[in-house]
Amino acid sequence: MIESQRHSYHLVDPSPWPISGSLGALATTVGGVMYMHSFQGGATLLSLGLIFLLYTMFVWWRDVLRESTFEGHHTKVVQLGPRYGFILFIVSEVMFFFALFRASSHSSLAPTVEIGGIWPPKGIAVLDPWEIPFLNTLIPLSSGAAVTWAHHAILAGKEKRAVYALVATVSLALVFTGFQGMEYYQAPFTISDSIYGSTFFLATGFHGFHVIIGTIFSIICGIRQYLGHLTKEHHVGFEAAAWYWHFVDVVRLFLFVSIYWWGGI
Amino acid sequence: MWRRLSSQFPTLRSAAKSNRLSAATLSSPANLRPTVPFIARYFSTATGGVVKKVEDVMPIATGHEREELEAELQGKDILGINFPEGPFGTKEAPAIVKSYYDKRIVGCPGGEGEDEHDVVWFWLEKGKPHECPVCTQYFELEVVGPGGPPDGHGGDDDHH
Amino acid sequence: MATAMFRSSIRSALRGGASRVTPASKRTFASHASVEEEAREAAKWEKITYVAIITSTILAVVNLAKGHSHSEEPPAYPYLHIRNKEFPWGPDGLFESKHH
Repeated sequence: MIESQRHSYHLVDPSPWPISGSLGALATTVGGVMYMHSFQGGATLLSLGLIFLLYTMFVWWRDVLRESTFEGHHTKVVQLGPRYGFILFIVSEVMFFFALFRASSHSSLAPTVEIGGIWPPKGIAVLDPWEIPFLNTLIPLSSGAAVTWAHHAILAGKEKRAVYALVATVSLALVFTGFQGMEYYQAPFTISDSIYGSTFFLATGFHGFHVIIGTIFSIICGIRQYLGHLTKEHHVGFEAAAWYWHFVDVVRLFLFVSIYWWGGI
Repeated sequence: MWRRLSSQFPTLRSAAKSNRLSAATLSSPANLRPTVPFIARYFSTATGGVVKKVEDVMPIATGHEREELEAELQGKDILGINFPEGPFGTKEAPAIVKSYYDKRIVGCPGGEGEDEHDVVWFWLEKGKPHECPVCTQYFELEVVGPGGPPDGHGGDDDHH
Repeated sequence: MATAMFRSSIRSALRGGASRVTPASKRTFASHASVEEEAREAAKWEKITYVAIITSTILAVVNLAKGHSHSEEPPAYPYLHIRNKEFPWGPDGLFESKHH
């Protein structure tokens, strides 16, 4: 039956994207440092690097979609690769956020005399955790429910309902980002207001960044679902997006409990 | 869960099971293939009747994904020559390993129970039987394909 | 809840991978249940989503109606409003509004 290939693995073709992605990352890093130190041309190099990086991401993932959906290279065994790869990626993300939480608890469990020996530091007016922060924990959880709805709809073969569910997922994510932006603008402290501001905005900011990534990921899944790429037998991309979304959910839960609630009262 | 997960890794798998020998072609070095077509059973229980066509299962499937699905629906294993098992190979009755090409990487896990040893990998070539240096199991290669060198990018390889 | 959801999805993910290798495990593979069962689950999560959206909307309206309190400027402690050098884009931070 298989005349051309006697194994179920995918031997990828040579691709320019690894090197172009590396060059983009290099330009972004160097440009970022130059920009932050007010070197001439720093902003230009940073922008060029980011554009290069985003372009590489677009074309590389476009190629993966072509290989998997349109050329059928992703057999059962091949699907295991991205599956485990993505799980390991999420594990590394967990460790990254652990460091941010650790920075916060290190500063708050034994506050130094320089900030008045108390937490929150003297002079910092904190946000009421039961107002916008609580709402903005509920919204990602609702979005997580919507993505679970989408998953079951895909497995049940209800393709239209899955698109609706993903629209709900993305809408809730956008509402979250909107409220988070509002909270940032109204916050009585900034990132340069003591270690409290630093750890607060570092942790919530990186979480917000991950929400934006997850939103884009879910939008892509919604488009692919609409186009009929995701079937109940093969929807690795959607599964990865759903795991990622649940991960971002859990991080928000920890943020709320440890930084907004415990750290803000 | 972890036990199941570990069963996907080739060496653990062959160590855990009482495989007599494990083999891999150059281009498919790991024993990751499912051995039994589960899809056929799953879909026959899910829909009540036996599904015959790929179109009924996954209409947009194409390429090798489609070939794999089709083989599974027909109850065939497209890589039937993998996971060789059998009685301990001796000089009189060697363990036969099938290969599409003239040589193949084979791993010997030893005998059963007490006689098991860490998997020893070696090249098994056509017409050159191999004796495992640890347990003296005897192997022979049987070419069932076109033969030639297994470079993974053979001349007839037109997977595009 | 989210933790449980996350765990169960990871679990089904690993099981999903495993079931492709060991057919014996397919009986316990929850997310490859029958189509009818999946449709029921989808309907259940659809309802949960609607309830969650309604709750969030009510909470949002309540919170937005309340407005936010303006706290008075704290004394100029040395650890507040730290400036070692100017930002690349100017003197003010990104989310810094001076009208509290």
